[in-house]
Amino acid sequence: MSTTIKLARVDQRLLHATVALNWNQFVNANYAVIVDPSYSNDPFITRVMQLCLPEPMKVKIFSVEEFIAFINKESTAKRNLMVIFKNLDTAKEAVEAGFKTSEIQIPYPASRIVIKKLSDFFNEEEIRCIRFIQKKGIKLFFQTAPLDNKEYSVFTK
Amino acid sequence: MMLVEIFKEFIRVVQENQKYTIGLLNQDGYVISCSKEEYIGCHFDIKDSRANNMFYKIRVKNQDYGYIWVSGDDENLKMISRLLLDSLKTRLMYEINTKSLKQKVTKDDELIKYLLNAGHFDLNHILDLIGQLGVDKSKTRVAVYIINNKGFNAEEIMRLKLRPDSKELIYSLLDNNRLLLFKDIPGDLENAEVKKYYRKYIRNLQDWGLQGCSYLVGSMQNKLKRYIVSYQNCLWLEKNIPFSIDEPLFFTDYLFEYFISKVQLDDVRNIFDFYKDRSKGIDIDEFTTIANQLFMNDYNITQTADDLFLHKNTLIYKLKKYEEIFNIDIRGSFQGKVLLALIANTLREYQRQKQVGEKV
Repeated sequence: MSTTIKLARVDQRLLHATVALNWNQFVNANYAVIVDPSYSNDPFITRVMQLCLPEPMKVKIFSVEEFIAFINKESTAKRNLMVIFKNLDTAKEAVEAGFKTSEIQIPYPASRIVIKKLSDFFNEEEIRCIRFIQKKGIKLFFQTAPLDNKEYSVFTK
Repeated sequence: MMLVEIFKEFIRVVQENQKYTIGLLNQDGYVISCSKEEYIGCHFDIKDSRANNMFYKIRVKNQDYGYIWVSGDDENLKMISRLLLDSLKTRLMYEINTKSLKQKVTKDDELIKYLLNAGHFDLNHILDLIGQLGVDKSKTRVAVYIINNKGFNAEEIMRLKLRPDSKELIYSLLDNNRLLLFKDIPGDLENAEVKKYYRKYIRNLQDWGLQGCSYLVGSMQNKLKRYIVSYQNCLWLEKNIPFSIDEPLFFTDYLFEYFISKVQLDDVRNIFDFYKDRSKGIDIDEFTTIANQLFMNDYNITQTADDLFLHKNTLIYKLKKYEEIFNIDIRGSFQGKVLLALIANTLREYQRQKQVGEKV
């Protein structure tokens, strides 16, 4: 059976905000994968994060290397993944290490400020990460909740 | 109570880590569940949050559920207690959403049960359910009957309701292997675009997760009372037309076969059996194969001969023979062609009945 990426999202609030917005149910994911090197080696935190979702939903916290190894590993079970990157730098590292997907979602800023250009919201380092990801053929877009419109235009400027 | 059940899972996880104690307090500050049973019933002043004793209000969807208490000497206590609070609130929200979804799906199940009750169409009850679900009763819908021989995952099917393109969807899992959807059609869609629309919708369902299924699509209906007809069309397809996995089958592509099948077999047999018996030795399999191929090729004899690897003259010879046996004009008249299709359908059905041992 194959591994399918149902949603790839950059969200520093990690799993809590994503599950609270019902994303896993909207995209029919049965795996929530958090890519955050700072927590990947803490089994207690992984267990607490698993508590956000009932079985048979699975929650995993990986470093970038562990994440790439996980998606490349053959699985006998159907794995529909909701992938949450801690930040743009982690997402860029994953793409650099071979992570393939068609698009990556970023939640709108909490204040819903009008963003006319990337520098209105992202710092230089983040913009560099965005450009790197885009060069690999991956689109980026703003969307917070499942019924929000996808906003691609800022990223194409 | 949902929260107490969920909290037990949290207790189990925290008990694996001896550094912390976790408790659930009611609105008045009394412990109702705890990783250390001796604290149950104790009272805490929730305003008294200290370095090793944290209290947080559990508020989800504008409703208060009491307090979470986390205690320990660890330097990470604040971070861990926030994490436990966020996880508890997230889980509670998830379970509340799931419960509300289940209620909606149960209403869908009930609505479909009433829509498919041919014996007693209870319009008042149906309109009441439609009102509760917020479904537009004036929309045109089509039955999509999905068969999964390996069995559906009921939890996954429940989440169909959350797909953004499924706001007007009514559906029910009829049994472990059969799912019935009544999917609406956009009002401005041209008739010629309908099949394309449903192909795209089914492809989306497959991408979403419904792979390895067979999809049978019924007729369009704009009256609630006729939704059952669209469903019955799917059942007819299931019984009469070979179908494959992942490739949708549309009832509207088989209207001729459908109406032919509605003619009573005995009516046709009563007339034509005499001719068949008198002919003696007619190869019924060959006859039905030729009739079927002619029909598929719009009665083009050259094309049919090619498809059946026959010489054109051989085919004409056989057709002449059939014309003589049944006393019909296959090549020259429209009526003869329709009669050929009727006779072939009847004989095919009798062959099938004989093969399965039915008395004919």
